[in-house]
Amino acid sequence: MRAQISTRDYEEISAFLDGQLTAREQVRFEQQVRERPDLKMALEEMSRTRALLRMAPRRHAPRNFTLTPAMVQQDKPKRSFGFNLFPTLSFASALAALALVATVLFELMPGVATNTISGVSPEAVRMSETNALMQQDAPETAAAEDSLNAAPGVAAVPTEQANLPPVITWGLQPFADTFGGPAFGKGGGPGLDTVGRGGGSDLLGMGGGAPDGNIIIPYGSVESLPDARVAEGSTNPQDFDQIPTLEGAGPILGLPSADEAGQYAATVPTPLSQRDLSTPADNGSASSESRAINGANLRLIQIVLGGVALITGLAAFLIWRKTR
Amino acid sequence: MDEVGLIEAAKQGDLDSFNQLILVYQDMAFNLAARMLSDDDAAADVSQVAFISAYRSLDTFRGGSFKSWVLRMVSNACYDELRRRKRRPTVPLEPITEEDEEVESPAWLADDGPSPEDEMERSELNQAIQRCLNGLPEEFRSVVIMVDIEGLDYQMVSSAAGKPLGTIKSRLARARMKMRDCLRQFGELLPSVLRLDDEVVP
Repeated sequence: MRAQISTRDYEEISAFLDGQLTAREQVRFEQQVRERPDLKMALEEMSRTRALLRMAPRRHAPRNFTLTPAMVQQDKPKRSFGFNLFPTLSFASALAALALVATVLFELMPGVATNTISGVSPEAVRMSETNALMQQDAPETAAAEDSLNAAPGVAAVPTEQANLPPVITWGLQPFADTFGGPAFGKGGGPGLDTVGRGGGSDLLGMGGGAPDGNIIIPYGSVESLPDARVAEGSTNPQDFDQIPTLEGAGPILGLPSADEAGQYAATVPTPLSQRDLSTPADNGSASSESRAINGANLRLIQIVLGGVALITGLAAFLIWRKTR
Repeated sequence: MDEVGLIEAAKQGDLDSFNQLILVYQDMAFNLAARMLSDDDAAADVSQVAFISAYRSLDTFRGGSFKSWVLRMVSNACYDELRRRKRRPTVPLEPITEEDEEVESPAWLADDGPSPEDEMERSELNQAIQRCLNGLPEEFRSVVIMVDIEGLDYQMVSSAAGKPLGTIKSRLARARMKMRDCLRQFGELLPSVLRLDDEVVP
């Protein structure tokens, strides 16, 4: 029977006994008590409990608690070092955790993960695959050289070109068509921009070069070329043996000296089969390396943030346990 | 001087005025602390600490019931003491006989003077109530002490506890239900007219 009494009923009973019901609530409650014997019994029990509690003797203070000037002039209890440190640590922990979440979300953003997060970029993977392919199959390498010559100006590894996504470059296209252009992205190659830096020869692996497929850096008069084969696109190293080697450092933007006039600074392209493509000397690899570094930096930041959040959170929790 | 005047004087640094307020409320403060802690010595310490704290933070009193404000100080000090006890539990001292055996009933703590029968009954009732109070959650305990033992109204308890009126009503009803169930175990110890049985009083 008592099971029918709800907590709400007991609250009403309690409030009724203390006179806390409104007149309307009191009339309704009294009506319910008359109709429900279980409610009436509960009312009686709570009434006796309340009466018992009110019979409990009141305790009197064993002494006066009046204050003396010495009591109130005591220095206020200094808050412990830990108590002062707690909000700082907890705030730092929360901040680090939020920053960590932000970096993880940044990592998960489309287009970010493939470029920055992976330690090895897709281009680097493709480069290594190409390397392996070339080392295993010499005839295929020769064919790659042929295709390099046959397709001048195409800046890509021929055997993998079909599998590579299109590379979009901006600006200087006419200039690149004429002189090979500066080294932009994976393409480009030896052109006027790379003369002073001497970076032309290593760019062959990424398909750089002049429009005709050769790495030729004009350093003097074009008319004085001793061997027309150079301009005709030959890639045979023996064809370049007769080209005089440039000695001394010529001016970058000025006119060459008299004894240097008529000489050509030409880079002999190493056959593809003899080159070590694993060296990250080309611009494409540099880009991949940059992305890999960015990914590593992001991972390092995440680790540091996670460590800070964990350590400060743990310290704040320990201080809280100690001071509460 | 009325209470408001004493409070204002105490805010200005008049310690005597504040001590007059302490004399008015110290029994109430000690009663609440003793019921909450079930330990007179600890209750005295907590009451003293609460009054010192009240004097130091008198500037935070923005009017209203000073009685509620003092009770709030005392109940907060009691909560702190109860939390401290949970962190560092202590083993109560038990009386030992000459043969180094524990005395089951701590009658040695009782007053040596003659105890009349009604005083005994009163003491047993008091012990039963205190035992049941100790079994209540702290928040329920403070509410039932303030309402049923101190005789405060709901509004004052709400102000002292810093909780809404509905919360006080709910806690009080639940506390009384628990007290009813607990006190039923001490049926024979209770005054006959107040014994809690299942019979419906006609």
